[in-house]
Amino acid sequence: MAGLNNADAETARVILSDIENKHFKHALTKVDKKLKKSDSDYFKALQLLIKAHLGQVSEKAAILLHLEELVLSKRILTDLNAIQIFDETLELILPKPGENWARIIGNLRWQLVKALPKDVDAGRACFRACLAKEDYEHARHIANSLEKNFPGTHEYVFWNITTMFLFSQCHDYPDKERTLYGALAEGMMRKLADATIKAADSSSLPTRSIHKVQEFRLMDTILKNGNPEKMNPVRLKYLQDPFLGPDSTIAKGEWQLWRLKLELLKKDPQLLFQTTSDLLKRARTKNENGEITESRFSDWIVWKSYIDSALLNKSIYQGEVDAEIKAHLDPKTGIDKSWRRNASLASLKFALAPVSAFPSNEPESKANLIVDYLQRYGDTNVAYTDLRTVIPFLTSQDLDWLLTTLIENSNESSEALPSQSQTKGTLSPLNQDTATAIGIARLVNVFKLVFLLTSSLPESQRRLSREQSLQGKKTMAKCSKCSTSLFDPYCGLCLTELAWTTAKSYGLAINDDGRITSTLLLTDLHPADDLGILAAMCLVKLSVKDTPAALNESLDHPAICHLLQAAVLLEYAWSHSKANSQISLMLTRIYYSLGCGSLALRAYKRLGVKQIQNATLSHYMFDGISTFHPHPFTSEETSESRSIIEDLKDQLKIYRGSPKQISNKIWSSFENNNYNTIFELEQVKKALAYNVSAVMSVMESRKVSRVVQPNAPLTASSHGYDILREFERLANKMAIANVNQATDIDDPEIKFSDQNDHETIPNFEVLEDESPLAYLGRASRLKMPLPDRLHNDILADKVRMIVDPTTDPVSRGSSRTWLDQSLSSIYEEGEEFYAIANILQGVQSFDKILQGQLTEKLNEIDILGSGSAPATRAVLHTLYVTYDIGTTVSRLKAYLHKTNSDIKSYSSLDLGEQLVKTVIAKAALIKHSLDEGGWIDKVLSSVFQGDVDVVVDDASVPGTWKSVVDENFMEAWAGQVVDSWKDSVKGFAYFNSQ
Amino acid sequence: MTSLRPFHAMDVFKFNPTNLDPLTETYDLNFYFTYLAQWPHLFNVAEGADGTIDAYIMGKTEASPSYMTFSEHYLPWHAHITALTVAPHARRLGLARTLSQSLEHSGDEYDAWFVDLFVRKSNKVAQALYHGMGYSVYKRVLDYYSDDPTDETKDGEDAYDMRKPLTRDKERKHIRKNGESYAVEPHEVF
Repeated sequence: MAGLNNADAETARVILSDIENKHFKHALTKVDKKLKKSDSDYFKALQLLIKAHLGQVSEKAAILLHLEELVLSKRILTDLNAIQIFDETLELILPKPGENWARIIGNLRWQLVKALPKDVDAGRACFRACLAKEDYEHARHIANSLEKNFPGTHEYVFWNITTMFLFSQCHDYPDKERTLYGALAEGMMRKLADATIKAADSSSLPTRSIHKVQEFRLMDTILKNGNPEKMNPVRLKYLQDPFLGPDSTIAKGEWQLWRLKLELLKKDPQLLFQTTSDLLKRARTKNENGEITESRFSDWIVWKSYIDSALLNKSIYQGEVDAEIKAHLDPKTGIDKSWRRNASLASLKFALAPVSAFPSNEPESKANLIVDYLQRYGDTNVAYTDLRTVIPFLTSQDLDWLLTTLIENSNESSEALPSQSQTKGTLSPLNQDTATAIGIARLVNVFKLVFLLTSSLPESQRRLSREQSLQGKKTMAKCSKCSTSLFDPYCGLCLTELAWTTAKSYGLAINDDGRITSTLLLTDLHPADDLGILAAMCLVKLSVKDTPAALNESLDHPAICHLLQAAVLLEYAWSHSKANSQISLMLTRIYYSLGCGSLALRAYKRLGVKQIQNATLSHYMFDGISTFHPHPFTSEETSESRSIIEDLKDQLKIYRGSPKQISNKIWSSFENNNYNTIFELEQVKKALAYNVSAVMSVMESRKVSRVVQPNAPLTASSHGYDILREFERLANKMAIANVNQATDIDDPEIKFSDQNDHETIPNFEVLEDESPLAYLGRASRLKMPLPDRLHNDILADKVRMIVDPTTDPVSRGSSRTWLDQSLSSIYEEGEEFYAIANILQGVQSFDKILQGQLTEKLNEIDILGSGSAPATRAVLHTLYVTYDIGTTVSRLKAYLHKTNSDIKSYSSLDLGEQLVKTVIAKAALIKHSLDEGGWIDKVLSSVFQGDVDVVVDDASVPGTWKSVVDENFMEAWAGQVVDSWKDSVKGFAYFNSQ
Repeated sequence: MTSLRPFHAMDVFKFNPTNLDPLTETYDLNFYFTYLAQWPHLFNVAEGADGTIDAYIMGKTEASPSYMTFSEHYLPWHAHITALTVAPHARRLGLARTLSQSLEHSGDEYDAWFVDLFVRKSNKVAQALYHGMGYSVYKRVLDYYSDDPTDETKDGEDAYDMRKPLTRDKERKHIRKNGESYAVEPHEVF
């Protein structure tokens, strides 16, 4: 309340106290009384604020009009406190004021700064407020004013440039202006950089020059945004300058500058080689105290650039590269092991890269290089990840040699077992070192490599050969290990054998009478975990070749059987290594596919997901939950029920709270002159605003509500829908761009943000999309990727809102308006709700389309598993989706009837009721079947009998199971699976034919 | 492979390999972004072959407020390791040492006297790592942690404040011998 006299300040305090205590009428009386005596902007603002608190919708419109008139009157308000109250008032009547804020409050703030240009506090406060509302236009004006009126303040120069650049990046402003301010920011930055170079002395830099590395990085970000052909040479020029570049005083050793420089040097391989060669020498040079102080120059980025540039002219650089690698690997050099590993990997890459003129053509030499690397680093988990990057360079002949060598070396006494005919030998768990943590770690890497060589790496080659074969161009490929002709893209026989061999080794390692397990803390991981995970991965891979169709089948079908086997193995592994999140992630996905909702949730909860992890990991459990387990889960510990809606509501907190937090940190970055952080934070803000996981949570919550609370009306904003307005706006923009095939389709502003984590779940394949777990996710959930599916979810939600008799008129009206405006441009054909929406819009031709789709649904339900089939995810999904469609079609019929439409023209509408009845009958059948006894025995039989012909170290699969998983554990687990299936079908109780 | 790079704000969407480990706390976004807004140069990531976050370190530079100048607990300008975490799959590679060294390097560049950190009294593995890197215990903070993972019957656990002198501290005046026996209360720590 600065600026008020003591008496006014006291009055204001009393009024504000009344407002805080919600005594609005008292406050209004006092403020009216005060305004009779004086014409104060501050008290006028308070009056408006109180009215906004008290006001109904019509009064709020009047308040908005009043605020707009303030701007139109062109009277300049110089009372910052009054503007802040007006700001609060606008926020109250329009929770998301959007462009109204810039037009009204942003304008008032800028006018105040213009009127009081020397008031630095007001300037900074208004600048901060404009930034928080992304009103970059007024923020730009204010930053410019600060720079001009405080010419001795170095930071305002950069505030101005940063704000101009932010403006230029915001698609809400006209292109012409954006281009202009982008160019201005670039030009100003270059002048500042040139001033630093000209000064040539960091102790006497002029105000208008680059002083700090953060300012240099701002310049690089701005230049990088320009045309690469034109700007990259400029960026490189500054990075090579001794007064600005990575070795300059201002750089303060910032490593990122070297990263930028090496990236830009790629265009000049000779210079890149020379630069990286110098850096690697510095990395191993000791100072006068005998210490290595620049070891960071052994970074993989340096080695990779060094090797890549050398490979372009290997004959010239061979000797120099070999010497450098040798020097780094020499223990006497004293380089830390984390950096030394880079030299080893560089050595491999240099020798194995395709352009390599390897000195010997004997394949075993190349295989031996891999084996040598394994000997050095095989006791670390990352050895496999490192080698996975170079193994694709090997030829088929090399791979054969490597496979043989690995198998022979892994069996401590390979002669103990006779090789099977035509095979390259067999992994023999009984002959492997599973007694020590290091031995197990080495074994894990060998098994993963065997997996890669026999069932993963050649997959793409085999797929190609199969395609060629189908075209009659070539004969079928043969398995590189057992020579079987391949019909699948990998050898099922070898993969099955590997699964059980790995499982057996895991059993030997884990059932150790406490040798290793007793030494582990609760938070430690067991060294053998990856053996269990790999065995389970092989089983999942065997399963997915038969999904999704097989997920409707009985328990003895290989697809179900392999998933059950993987689940029990992982559950057993988890019981020995509870901190292993990869096991829990895999279990979540497998149980989800099996239809075991409560077990999937149990595995998910073990992850301890919190805060931002809700935005990246929740899709594993909650994507599609409404058609999987819409009913409440019962806690194992407390036996209390918890609604899914509560879980989803918790997830939305991250999206509600973060924008304000991030805005505060953007301001903090300005204050601390860390300009690059500003752009990074802006990226996070957008990623959260347009996040597909947020939309998923809202949509699933609304769908769950419709199932479990069918009589509770939804509004246009319930279940968090209000936070999706930004998303919806983008969806429309994106669709219009799609329809028009607009050139700005690549514009990041019209892309949804998918930050779901697909990488943390285990994957031993070369490519992510070949991961069996990713495939399982796609097969057992929903056919389209989440971002695409959400378009249809929004459309379906609007349709439900319109036809649902409980919807309030306002929400129905807004949904109808949305449909009128968006349907023709947004959604792909082929979805039932697209057809329903078109019928709702009176497009008669969709009747036939919908009829076909509904008939197909009836057939799907007809063939859906029952009797011997459990309620897998695929079964549950089909039932819930069909019920939803049937209900909506029935409601559509009623709605059209009520609105006097000609429903006789739409014969498809008669199928709605039939669909619902069919679903209910099928659900009853499945539930009845599960209520019958014998399911535990069926599960155990499936787990024991699958792959019964496989023999590992003379033991069959049942024998192997006995050596891996304790029998009591297995039985208890089977009981949990059956209980989980019984819990999953409880949701059928919500099906209602009324 | 070992490669360091600055932590990027978008990494909060990618740090599950480290943060799903029960020993690593996942904080409110505000916490990470405060460090990025103030000390981005002390917030670094060790990246794996496929861009996976294998480890990260968060640090800051600070001094006690000026009104504490004459207090025996006054902390001069120094670098502090707030968090250092290595993903389970990337352990035993020396990444903790590499990241700590990167922060020490920055501490020298910004003229800090020393680098310090807090470690649980029971965490002998971490103490051995830091001892091996030239850190020593400066003081023991009584019941600094509100729990004791090694003993469920206890309500708290002491912390060791460990320090490593940087180039500026030529006379080694900011370290002491037998720091384990120099106990302070948590409220005496800035």
